[in-house]
Formats: sequence, C-alpha cells, structure tokens
Amino acid sequence: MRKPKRFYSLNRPKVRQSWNKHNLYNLARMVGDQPPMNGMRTFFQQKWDAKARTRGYHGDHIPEKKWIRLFDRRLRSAVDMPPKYLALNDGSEQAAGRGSGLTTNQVSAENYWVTAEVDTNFPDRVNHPRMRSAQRLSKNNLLAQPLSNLTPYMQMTFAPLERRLDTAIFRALFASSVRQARQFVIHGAVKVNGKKMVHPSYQLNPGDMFQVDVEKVLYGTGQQKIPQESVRFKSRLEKAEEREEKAQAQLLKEKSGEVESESAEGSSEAPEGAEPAALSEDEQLVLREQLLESLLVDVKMVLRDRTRMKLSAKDKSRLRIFRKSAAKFLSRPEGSEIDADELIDELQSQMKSLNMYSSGKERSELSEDAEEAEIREPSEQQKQRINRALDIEGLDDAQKETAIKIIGYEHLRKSELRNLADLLKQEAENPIDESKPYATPWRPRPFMSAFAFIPRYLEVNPNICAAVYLRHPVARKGLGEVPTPFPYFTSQLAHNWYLGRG
Amino acid sequence: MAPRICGTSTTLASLDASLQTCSRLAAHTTRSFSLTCRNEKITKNRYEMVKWIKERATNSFDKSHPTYLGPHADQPFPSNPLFRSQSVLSESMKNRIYTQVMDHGVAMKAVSEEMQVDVRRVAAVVRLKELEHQWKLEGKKFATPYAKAVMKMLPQSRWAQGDMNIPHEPINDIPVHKLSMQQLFVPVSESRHFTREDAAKAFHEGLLSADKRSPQRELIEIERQAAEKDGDRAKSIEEFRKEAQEAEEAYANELARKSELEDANIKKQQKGRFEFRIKRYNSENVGKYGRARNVTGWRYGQALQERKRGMVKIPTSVP
Repeated sequence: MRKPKRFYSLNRPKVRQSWNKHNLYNLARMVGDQPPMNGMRTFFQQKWDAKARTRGYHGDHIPEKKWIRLFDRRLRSAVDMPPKYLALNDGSEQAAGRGSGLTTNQVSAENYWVTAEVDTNFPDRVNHPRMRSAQRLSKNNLLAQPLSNLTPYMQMTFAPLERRLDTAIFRALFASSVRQARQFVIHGAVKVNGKKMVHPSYQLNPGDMFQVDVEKVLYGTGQQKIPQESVRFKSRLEKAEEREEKAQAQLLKEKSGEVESESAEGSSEAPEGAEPAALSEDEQLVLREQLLESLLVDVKMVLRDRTRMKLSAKDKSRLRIFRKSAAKFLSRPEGSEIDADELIDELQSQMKSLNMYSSGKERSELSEDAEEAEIREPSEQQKQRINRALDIEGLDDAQKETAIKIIGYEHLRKSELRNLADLLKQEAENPIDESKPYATPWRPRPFMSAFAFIPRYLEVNPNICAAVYLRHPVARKGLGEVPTPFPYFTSQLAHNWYLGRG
Repeated sequence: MAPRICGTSTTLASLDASLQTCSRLAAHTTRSFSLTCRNEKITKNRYEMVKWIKERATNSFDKSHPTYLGPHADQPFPSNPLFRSQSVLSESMKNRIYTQVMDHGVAMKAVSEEMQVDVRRVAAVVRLKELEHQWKLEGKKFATPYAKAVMKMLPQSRWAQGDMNIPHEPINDIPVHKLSMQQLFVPVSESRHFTREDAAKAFHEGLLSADKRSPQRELIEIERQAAEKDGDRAKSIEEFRKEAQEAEEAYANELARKSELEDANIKKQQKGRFEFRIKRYNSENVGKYGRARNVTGWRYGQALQERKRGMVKIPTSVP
C-alpha cells in the first residue's frame, strides 16, 4: 500500500513503525496513549478509534483485507514452570484444603522464579512533561496498575504480523522502518535459510534464519550522507599533497643554494651545466627520508599523546590521511586498498633501508633505559630533521614547540609500529568511502538508541546481519512480547473490533 | 502556472522586483528548478517539536548505553509499561556457547541448563556463529561498526563461570495449550488428591500434563533426586550431561543414516557440466483425487492449478 500523505503528522499524529524524529516526538508526548474515557463516546466509536490508531502502527502498509485474514483470536502465552517447582509439587497443593476454607497455602510456580523482576514503580525522571501528567491524571492508570499482575493477552492482538518477514527485519534492527525493510526484501537483499526471498509477506516459521545484505543494513541504519563532509576530507588530503610538493621544492631550493655557494667559493669541480631539477640518487634518498619523516609526524602525534585515552576525531582523521598518503608514498596506484599489515611491513622495510629505524632499546623492555633515552640530548641533525618535517606540516613556532614536546626527536619504535598497525586495522573497519550511499565513517542514525530493542523471539547476530526467528511471540505474566506502543485498553478495544462481534 | 509571490501587500511596481528576488533567493537556497519560495513560517506544533528535539532529545539519547523514552529505564514505549526492552546475549556468552557446543561437544540441553538460556536460542546462536566463521573463511566483510554500535545500545546479559548469575531467560517455558484456555468447573471430592495430571485430563482426554510437556523433562527428575534424603545434585547433573550427550550423538547418527539412505536411492550420472540425479518414483501414488500435494507432472483430466489467477505463490516454508 502506498505511503499516505502526512505520514508523520503533528496535528493528527499517529505512531509509526519507524525511527523518524517526528515519530520519536510523537511517542514522547504520549500520542499512543488511550484518550480518557469520559462517557462521551459510544463503544463503537472507541473501538473504531482504537483500531485506526493501532493499525497506523501495526502493518499500515498492509491492506485491511489482508490483515483481517491474518488476524487470529487465539492469543499465545507461556508460563515459566521451573523444574524445581514441578519436582517438589504435583499440583495438588493448589487445591488442598480449599473446601474447608483454607487459603494458607500460597505455593505456586512463581515462588521458584529466578529471572530478573520487572520494575513497575513509576520513577520520577520522565522525558516529556506530557508523560508525567498523563500518568498522574489518567483514569486508565488506576485500572492499569493491577494489570502488571496479569498475563496481558490483549497486547498480543497484532502478533500474527510479527511473523511477517519485513516486520521481523525491522525488529531485528536491520532497517529503520518497516517500509524500508519491505523495500530491502523486494529489492532482493534478503535471504531466508540461505535462499533469496522476495516476498515481504512471507510468514517466518520457528527456526527460520534470515539474512540481510550488510551494505543495505549499513545504509538503512546509518546516518544519511552529507555532501560537505567528503569535500572537507578531500581538501585535507589535497593539503597533505601540497605539503609534499612544498617539501620537494624546498629541498631543490636548498640544493641549488648549496651549489651556488660552492661555486661562489671558487671550486670549479662541480659540473657547470647541471640542471637544478634533477636530483642525484643520494639526494633522492634524502628527499624520501624527509617525506617519510613528515608523514610520520602525524603518526607520532597520535601514538605518543598520552593525555587522551580514546582517539579523538582529529586523531582519526590524521590516521586516515596518513593511510592515504602512505599508500601514495609507497607508490600504490590511486584508489587501491592497502592492508594494514602490508602497509606496516612495507613502511618497516623502507625505514630500514633509509636507516630511520630506532636503534635504542624498546621502552617496554627497560623503563630505566627509556628514561635515560628521554634525558639524552638529541643530536643537532635530529633536531634539524624534525624541524624541517614540522615546517613541511605547516606549523608555526608555538605549535612546533608543543608538537616537539609530544613527539620528541626519536624515530618510531617497533612496538609503536605495532600499535600503529592495530590502530590502522581499527580504522579500516569503518573507513571513509565516498562511493557508499551513507555517511562514512559509518555512524548510527540520530535517536536510534531510543528504538533499539530486540524482542526475545528473535536471536540476532549483528556482525553478519543475520537473525533466527526462534518461536512465535508469547504473553507472560506482566509482559507482552509484541512490541506495541499502545496501552492495554487500546489493544483490547482493537481486539474487540477484529473479533467482529458488533 | 504563475509563480507564487511572497508577501501579501505588494504594489504592482514592486511586484516584478519582489518576484525576481524571491525566485532567485528560493532558487539558490533550495532547488534550482523551483519557482515557489520557501515557506518561512513555522507552525506552532513544528516549533514545539524542534524545541523539544533541541532541548531534550539531541543530548539525552546517548549512543554508548541503552537509553529509552521511559519512564522506566527499560521501557521503549511510554504508554505501554507491559513491553520492556529485554537483554540480549553478550558477545562473550555467545562465544562460550559456541565453543562449548562445537569444540567441546557438550550437548545443547546441557549448555542450556548450565547458562540458563533456552535450548532453541542455544541452537540459533551456534547456527549464526557457524555462519560467521564461514564468512570469515570466505573473506566477506562484517558489519563491525554497526554491530558495535547496536550492542552498545542494547541491554546485555552477562555470565561468568561459578558466579551467581541472573538467568538470561526461563528455560522451562510451557506454552499454554489451546484446550486449557477455557474456564472449567469440575466438582471433585475434598479428599481427592487432585494433581496436574488430573487437571489435564479434565480439560481433555489427550492433553498432557505440564510435566510431560516440559522441554527439559530430565531436569525435573534431577530436582526430584536432589530433594531426596541422600540425593547428590552435582552427581545427577553429571549423569544428565552424559545422557544428553549420548542422546544427541544418537540423534546425529540417525540423521546421518537417513541422509545416507536417501543418497543411496538416488542414481547419479555425471555428464559434462551436469550431474543427473535419478530417483525411483511411483506415478500411481497421486492421492485420492490425483491432486496430492507432493505430486509432480501433468495427469490426464487434471487441470494444473498453479498458473491460475489468484493462486497464492508465496512459499509457506523454505527448507
């Protein structure tokens, strides 16, 4: 059925199966609540209203005719009978002595329950002022209190819809609305028991496993793409590239300056017609070393800054830029993926060949040694090297000072490289990728946590976006397993409507 | 169609200018092809919503731990206190279930009893983990960022060996039978010892008692033995585990034997790219009216229904 106009209305609101912010607001201001019974409306009107509101949530994309065919007056429930109770009592204790007016024996299965109790006391903290007033003033509330001791059968009215494949996908948190889940199914992104299933109305049987394409799930549950974001990252990358070019130009300038000074001293040994643009092998090596040094500044900043426990957004972006420019440094073709381990191995070999590997002992081995190393005065050459690298990064003097305080003058250690590999691997799990239809790095939709629950009749593995429909939803004492935003009375009225008894 | 003009009181002279500015502004701020200008007014309802979202919602729905609308901490729907967000198995619990079943070969019933998780859930966890391992071998990419975010938002059950753990869920759920849903008035004498067995019989001849419908019948026996004078619970649980393992192995063997038998009845013929599988089939065995469910092929006098209009094609099960 097509989506009705004003699906998320604020004037005549209806609760929907969706994570939309309008829906969140409507839920928070108790839109799902039963209007107070003031005797102004007939029973028929009440039933009609309840039906209309509940159907706006439960399968509003299913024609009424089809839902009526699905409706079942049999409501499932289950009772927890602990083995200990069944072993120690044979059931006669329930009736023993009743005839003689004895009701002292209070033993039942409940006495043997060990699962966590459901809290029914009304707390002070509420999200919306409407919630508090509704709870205090509602006559329904007076009636609803004893309901927590009953099995809420009426909340199971729409249980047959929970069997549908599209609803189950939504309940397993693989889509942000049922309509989206339905689209996933129709577009062929869903498998049931390993076979493609294109019917959203497929009724899952207990034990059925369904899988949704990982990409579709990430798209459905992830934040929407923001065009500016990728532009920002691109500009950062471009800046990093500019820095490299600057470094090259700087080196060339220095070299030509040296040549000039040499020639000014009067030594005519240097060949006269040498072009300034061409670098000898040694100088190429120096340039490479300088480039690598400037690349590693970012890495050192991330690894050695101990003030933060977690990586900040800036650190993450530093790592990402490092990864991209390192791939370029290692002359990888543009756009090709490079594995974290592979990258580290190649970097290691490059550093060895450029003689940039830290010769000192590892910090973890001997703390005293490490202290000594820190105290040891850095050589002039080291200072110059780091300064030049920071120049290339484009930092001013004050920034340079703080940066040097953090990163020091030493080369990277083996353990630090290992840490870097771990960090890169972590980053690779959630990379920036402009080809994706969702915002990258992936992050959940706003307000997702308000809707994040998985009912017990499903067992979900979010790693592979697969779930098993274990059994049909049931009602237990004080808990109805069908996720419905409506109170008991609304569901009861709706159930009465579908019973069709006038 | 003439473009709509912003502002109600405009002179004819200013109309042209306002039309131009309006359309230009709108065109640059919203869509390049739209001539209508954006409605700058905001309704009261919308204003209140935006205000609420800014003040109450944006910061309060933390993504690092479960947060629901409330009023109870585990209640996602404010009007329905009868539905609560129940905890899911933590990753470590799932891993333990998987290693116990697949690596140590412990029976699923025994794992269920030890960790207080429904047997069906244990089986599902193993199945899903198995698929995950298969994906790893194939080198498929996991939805790791999604999984991490979701697991942070959900309440989780924890389990530690030897601890007093809160059970994840009841393991001996007995579904209420349709026959026992009616109210019944059975007069019995006061002196009679009226048990669950008798109650079941009163509802229906064929209705089994709760003890017999229990999914973990062996556990009842264990508790009975433990309650006896010289009962040793640990010993009887040990026995139960052994028996459950044997029963599971016997069942697995039976399944293997059946599939072997089925394989033996199929003749296989390799022809190039294809393998022809030929099974014996009795074409006389077509049911009373020749329309039995599992029958294939066309029969004289029996019209095929499957292409008819209105016939439902949605499968009822996927094997």
